[in-house]
Amino acid sequence: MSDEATQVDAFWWKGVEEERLLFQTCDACDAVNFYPRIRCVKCMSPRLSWRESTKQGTVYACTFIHRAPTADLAGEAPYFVVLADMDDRFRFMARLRKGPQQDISVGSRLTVVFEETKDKKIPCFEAV
Amino acid sequence: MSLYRSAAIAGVAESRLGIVSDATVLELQAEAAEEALAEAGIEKNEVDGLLCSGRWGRTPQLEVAEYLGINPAYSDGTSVGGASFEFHLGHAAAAIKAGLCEVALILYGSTQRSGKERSLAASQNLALQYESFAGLPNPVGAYALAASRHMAVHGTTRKDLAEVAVAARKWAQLNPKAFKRDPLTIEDVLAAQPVAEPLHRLDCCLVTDGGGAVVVVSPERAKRLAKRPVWLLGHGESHSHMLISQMPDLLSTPARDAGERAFAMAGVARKDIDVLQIYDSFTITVLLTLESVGFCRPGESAAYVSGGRIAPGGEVALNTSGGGLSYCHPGMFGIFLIIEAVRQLRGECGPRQVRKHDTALISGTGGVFCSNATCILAGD
Ligand SMILES: [Zn+2]
Repeated sequence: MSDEATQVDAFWWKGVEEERLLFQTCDACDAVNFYPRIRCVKCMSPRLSWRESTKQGTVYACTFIHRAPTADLAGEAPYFVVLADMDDRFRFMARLRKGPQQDISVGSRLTVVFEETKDKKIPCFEAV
Repeated sequence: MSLYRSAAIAGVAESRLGIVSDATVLELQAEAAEEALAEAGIEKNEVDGLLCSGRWGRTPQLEVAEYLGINPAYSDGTSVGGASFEFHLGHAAAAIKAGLCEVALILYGSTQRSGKERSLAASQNLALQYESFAGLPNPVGAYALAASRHMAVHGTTRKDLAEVAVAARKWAQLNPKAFKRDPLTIEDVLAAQPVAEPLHRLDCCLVTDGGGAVVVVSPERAKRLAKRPVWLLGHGESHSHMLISQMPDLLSTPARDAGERAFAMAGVARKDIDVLQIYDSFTITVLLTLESVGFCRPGESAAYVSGGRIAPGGEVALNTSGGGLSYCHPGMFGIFLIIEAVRQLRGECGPRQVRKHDTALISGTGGVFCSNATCILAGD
């Protein structure tokens, strides 16, 4: 992926490498942009600033996956995939990392952590 | 521009359905096209509009037109998932009204079940890179997320979802062309293997082969048809996102805007609709669409479908073919919603025929609640 990633994408993934979850806000209209873009999704301004998320969020929806979409993930199944409303006003989807706290539902509080995979480091959720 | 009565459906047909191991996507479309034109009483050389979509090729219009020997004056390959064909119906009517063509052919074919269809993967380098690491199986995981939200907000249960699957099966038992016709109970649906909870195996549409064709003509051409025409009264379309993580509200689908536009154009009320064909990729799709189109209020869809209300003999004639859950689902189902609506409006459905069949609503949903086009039809 990194070979073909644009500067915007590369910058975001570099954040993940450094265990920082990044998003953007628009200097012109204050809209939160996630995923990150080169022009604001709301007003098309090029003046977007990177922000670092507090990594705290709340479960908006979640599903318990029995059939993983890839062979790499098959060994992880079953696992939760969570769509969360982050405190920083963007919505973010990630897998719930295996751990002692697996009892989540809509409304549960989460934090983003980072996990090494075969290809690259990725963001995951952890229940708090 | 209103499309009210600007075009009519003259013919519809399926190809062979189910498991068709000896046909290509082009052959299935040729079968359906020939039968739909034949029942319309229209020669192939009259076709001057072509609309098609398929996940099997980068240029399906070119491949289909070449195979069938059609040189369209109007060509549309709108590709927004399973709803594409409801978009096509509106676009065909618009082109006809604008005088760009007179006889438009909408086509689809898939050999998804038998596996001879190559599917073009979404590019991991675009927006999908911000979602794919989550490990969500597509599309079932996205629909499961919506179901989880509906359950949390409205108290909907798996049994409520199962009502949709059981009703579909009961309709399918009345449709000789349906793929799954063995009896199905609520308990069977609840006991099925989990796939992406809260959705289990029998909450998910079938995987079959198959194709379909719809012939759309001008009001002038509709005066000389082998069968009575079915009229387009209203059409509306909308799409709101590509990735489920970008969907603004998981409980409000693009069917809301598309439905509003279709009803405004048709000048009819929801209570005037006799037959509903609502895309049932998953059981939850039906519940959310009913709420978004406004057949019930948010949170009331579980009650709307409960106790066999949408099964044969119930108060609401919904997905009378057996739907994507029990009749067929070759990758994209939208064209089959149109086919069944037309047959119901013509009164051709035998044991599953709905008694009052003056108007029908078709709601096509594509992707992961990404797109919706809604069509309102009436008999002649
Ligand atoms: Zn802006």
